[in-house]
Amino acid sequence: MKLNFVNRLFFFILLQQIKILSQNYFVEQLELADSLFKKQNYFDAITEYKRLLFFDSSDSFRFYSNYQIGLCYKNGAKYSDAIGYFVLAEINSTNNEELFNSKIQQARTNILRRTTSRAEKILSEMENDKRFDQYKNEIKYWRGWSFIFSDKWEDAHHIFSEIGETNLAQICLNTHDELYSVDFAKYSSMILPGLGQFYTGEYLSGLLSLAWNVFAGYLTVTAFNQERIFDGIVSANLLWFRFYRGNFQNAEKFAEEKNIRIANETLFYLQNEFNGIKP
Amino acid sequence: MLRFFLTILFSVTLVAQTNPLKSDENRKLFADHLYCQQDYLRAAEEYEALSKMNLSDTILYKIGKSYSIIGNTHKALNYFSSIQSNSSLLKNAILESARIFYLAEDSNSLDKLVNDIHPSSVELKKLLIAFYLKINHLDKVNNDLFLFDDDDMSILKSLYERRKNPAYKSETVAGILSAIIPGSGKIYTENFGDGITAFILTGIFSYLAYDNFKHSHQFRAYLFSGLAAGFYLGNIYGSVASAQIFNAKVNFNFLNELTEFLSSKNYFINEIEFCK
Repeated sequence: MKLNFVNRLFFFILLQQIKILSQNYFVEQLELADSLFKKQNYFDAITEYKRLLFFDSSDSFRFYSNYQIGLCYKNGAKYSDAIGYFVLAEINSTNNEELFNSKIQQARTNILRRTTSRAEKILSEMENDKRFDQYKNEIKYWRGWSFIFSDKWEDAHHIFSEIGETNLAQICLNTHDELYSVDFAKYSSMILPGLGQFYTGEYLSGLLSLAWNVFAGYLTVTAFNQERIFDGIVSANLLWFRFYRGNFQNAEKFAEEKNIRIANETLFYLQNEFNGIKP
Repeated sequence: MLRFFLTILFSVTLVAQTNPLKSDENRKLFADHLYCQQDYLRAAEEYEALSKMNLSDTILYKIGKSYSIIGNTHKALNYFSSIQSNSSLLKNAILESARIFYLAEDSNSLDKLVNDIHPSSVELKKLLIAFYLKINHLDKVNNDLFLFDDDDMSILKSLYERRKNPAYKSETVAGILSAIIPGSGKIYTENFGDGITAFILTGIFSYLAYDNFKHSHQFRAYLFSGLAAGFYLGNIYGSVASAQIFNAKVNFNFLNELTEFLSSKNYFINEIEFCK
């Protein structure tokens, strides 16, 4: 049966409507997922993005859905899952901007997860990639954050200074200046028992260390002076050397504990008071 | 004109439809996909959103299994108990419920399930024996329970013997041995390094105390006497504690072995492969 022009037009309009409406369902689904994301209802948002991914056979929303799922997991502190989805977003990226965004989110999530060596590897790859030449400063910015989370405050200060982030650079410099030298605490206690503890502000512990070492040393020396060799060896091994070793191990531990507290104070400030972009 | 109105009517009908991605058929497809991706909580919620008439026994079982895996045992039990008695999945549902009771140490529910409701199930009997071994209620384990002579029963019997006669060390014996010879109590509890150290240290300080008393060095003599007494008493206390630790380790290893055995047998449940 030959179709006349009007019939053909009728069927053409019908087919177009079916096509548009099925595409509209995916857009509707995407809008639903996005609204849940905006309301921070991340669990349900992930469900709706996954539904879109499952039914979208044309792969039009593949990058965006995977990227958004990654953000949902990241905001819910499920960093390993987030990284998985950012990798999928990277694989499905269609242009340099999408590729950059998915890779930088991988780096940022690795920083949060404290797998900073992995973050630095990703950032190094991006720095050497000519496609991201326009993003050099941003890459350096995240490298600075990676240094912060690796306790490399001086390196972080240098890199933030380089890119003009003076506020962060100053914070990192102040933290670096406050930190105690663990090696100095340890070796100074080896030279004079108790000195390392004094350096870290633990005066009572320093005095006790000094007193025990002086006492044990006195017992040992008088034993050897009076030719009581066995007494001297026992005092030296079981008393003096134990207190001496305990003294510098203590000094080292105090320095490390104080440094952890100083670093945590700065991280707490950055988490709650700092207004710039954070990982 | 008629075609024009038909086009308009058809368009309006299409627009008025709800999103087909949320139809029962598509929800089920999506839920199956989530289940196979091991995203169990989402899978359970998607299945639950299906209309009641589409909740087949397979779907009820999958919901129960999902909740069981994520630890929501109350909901899991509800779904397992709603499976029809003529369903092919009933046996698995019962065994899954038994596993939940076992892990929750719900003695009453497990007893009731095995002895009152399904007394002829061999798998349930095996699980019950394992449960009695776990909570150390050996009086409830009798020969009637060891029904069949298969490999599982042989293993359970040997575990029963070990639970009945555990290789414990006596705390009293350890303490007395260390009081007589410092360190011997720790060697008795197989803590050889500590035992030898305790013997040497107590010996050295005792000798130093004796030697200094002999040469009238009172201060040093009393100092070393104090140290020797401290090490001697500490050695006795340590030996008793060592025996307690040894016995706790025997218990711990037994329970580990029991758990490994049950895990290797998947709690006697024949797992159904839904995701091929």
